[in-house]
Amino acid sequence: MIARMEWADRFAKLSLLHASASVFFLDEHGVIQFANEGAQDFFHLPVEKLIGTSIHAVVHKAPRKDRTHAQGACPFTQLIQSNVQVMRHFDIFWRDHVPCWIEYSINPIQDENGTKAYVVSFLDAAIALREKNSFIENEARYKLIFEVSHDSKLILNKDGIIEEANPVALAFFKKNSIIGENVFTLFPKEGKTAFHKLFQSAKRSSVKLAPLNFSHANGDELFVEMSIFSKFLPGKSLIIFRDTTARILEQRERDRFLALVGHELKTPLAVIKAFTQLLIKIIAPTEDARISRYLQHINEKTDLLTGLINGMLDAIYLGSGKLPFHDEVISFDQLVTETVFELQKTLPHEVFEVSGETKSNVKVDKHRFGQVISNLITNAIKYSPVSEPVEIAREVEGTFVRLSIRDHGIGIPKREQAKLFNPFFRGRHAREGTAKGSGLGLYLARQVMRHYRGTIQVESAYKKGSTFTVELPLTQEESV
Amino acid sequence: MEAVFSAHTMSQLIYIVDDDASLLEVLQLALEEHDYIPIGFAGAKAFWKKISKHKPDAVVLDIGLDGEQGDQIAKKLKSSSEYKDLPVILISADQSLSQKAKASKADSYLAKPFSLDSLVYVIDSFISSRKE
Repeated sequence: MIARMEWADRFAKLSLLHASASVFFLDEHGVIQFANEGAQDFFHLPVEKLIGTSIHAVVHKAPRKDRTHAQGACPFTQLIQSNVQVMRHFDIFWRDHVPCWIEYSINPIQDENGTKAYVVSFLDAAIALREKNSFIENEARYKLIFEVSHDSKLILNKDGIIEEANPVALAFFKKNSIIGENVFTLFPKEGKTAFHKLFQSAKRSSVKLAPLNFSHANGDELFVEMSIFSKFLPGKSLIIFRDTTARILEQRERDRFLALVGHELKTPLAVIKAFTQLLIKIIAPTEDARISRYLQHINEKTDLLTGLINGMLDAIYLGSGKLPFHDEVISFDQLVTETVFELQKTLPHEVFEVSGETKSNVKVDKHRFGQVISNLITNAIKYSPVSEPVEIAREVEGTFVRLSIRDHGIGIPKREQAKLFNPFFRGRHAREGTAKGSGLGLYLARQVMRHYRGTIQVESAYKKGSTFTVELPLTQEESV
Repeated sequence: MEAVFSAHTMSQLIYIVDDDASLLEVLQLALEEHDYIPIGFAGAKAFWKKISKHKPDAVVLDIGLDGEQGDQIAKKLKSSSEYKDLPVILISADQSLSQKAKASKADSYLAKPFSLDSLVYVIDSFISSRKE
């Protein structure tokens, strides 16, 4: 007889191998020596009760009236006696008075002393079948999601070695196979650092999305939108990316065209404006007053057109990230005061009330941020009665400075508020007679605030007025 | 226009380079209104030819010219010992005007379309500061 410890040792290894199935170990007489947890679950009996019991006794727990059947169905008795290896046999088995199909295998073993034993493992066939079907289904689903796609998909191991790649990815890299290659060697050199950074930061936050820009040695640029799922599976990451080069180059071409159109429009406008101004000067006020008035109209509309073209060009350059920002550290309070002062010069009849102090510096392009402030103030004027002041408040909120511009005007209906920052949106209740803006002021203001990682918001109640609030990160740097 | 030294001996000579004939004409008219003596050039070649004979009191340059660009002319003027003190004003509808003005060391710039008053104001201020 083999020592119990030896059995235990062998059994431990085997049960590990068969961890998902019910496994037990029989001696040559069919007595259970060890059973794993799966067997315990299957028979609804604790391991202690199983050990030392004959396999026949356990199996023959079937109801008396079914015993004949059960006996006949008992897979083990005859098989153990015939000492043959059985692989994946199916049979019926009674459990808790309910028949169930099992899929089992029996492996006769023999140690060096010639002592025989059997390892029996089995699964509930219904569960096994379900699992198998769901595996097939999952595999089909996986294949569909992974392979049939407009996006390139790669599965990498923790070192960045590609383990799987879909056909779109192969087409993207223009290769027949990229399995086993390091993903970092595949992308063009320029821009690889950005990719590496993204990959590293994805490791910390599990999912990372970003547009990336690479340039080939020949100068060709490559744009991709990339998502990295670093905890896709243990030790594996999934990279999904889309080649956006064509779209971006097309957009650039369109922007270039619009910029050119803008430039070409401004050149004749310069001539129209100059001649109009010259005529206004030459025509003496004593002459037909209508002429001067008409010329003023031409002059104003020329300015409006200029504002529109400049707004359009700013929007294009902001969108493409090409609008130059000349940032400097400046006192926020001073910037607001100066902007209000300049506005007051051109709008002498308006009342501005400035309150609060931040005593903080911000790092911005004085001209661009000044434009945001004056846009908000001129908007406030447009929507308020003439006699009501525009209240301008400055304060510090955490690491931000806040500027609120409040008017006591008609307010903005809720349904209009969402559209307020859209290009060329104009509320229905603008004050009559105010100079029309380009319709791009708030749109550009939001773009500028985004550039500075700040915010712009509006709070408004119909007939009670509106408050526009901008928040800008403050800086600890000293102004020069 | 060429009678520079006859009637307006006290007047200041302003050279304007712009390939747009209409703008050139209106700028000249406006400056004449303010008692300046403007001379217009359609391109760099004629400008260089004239400046070598008569040095003006200020120069107004459009950037987008056929041939040598206005900012290149400004750069040359500002790096020459003879013209470095000459006030140079760049005018353009170009979006990168401010950078080009900075790079070429021009004294001032005006984005097209600009008001005639602002052009006169800029020229006036350069001329009066030179007088002082």
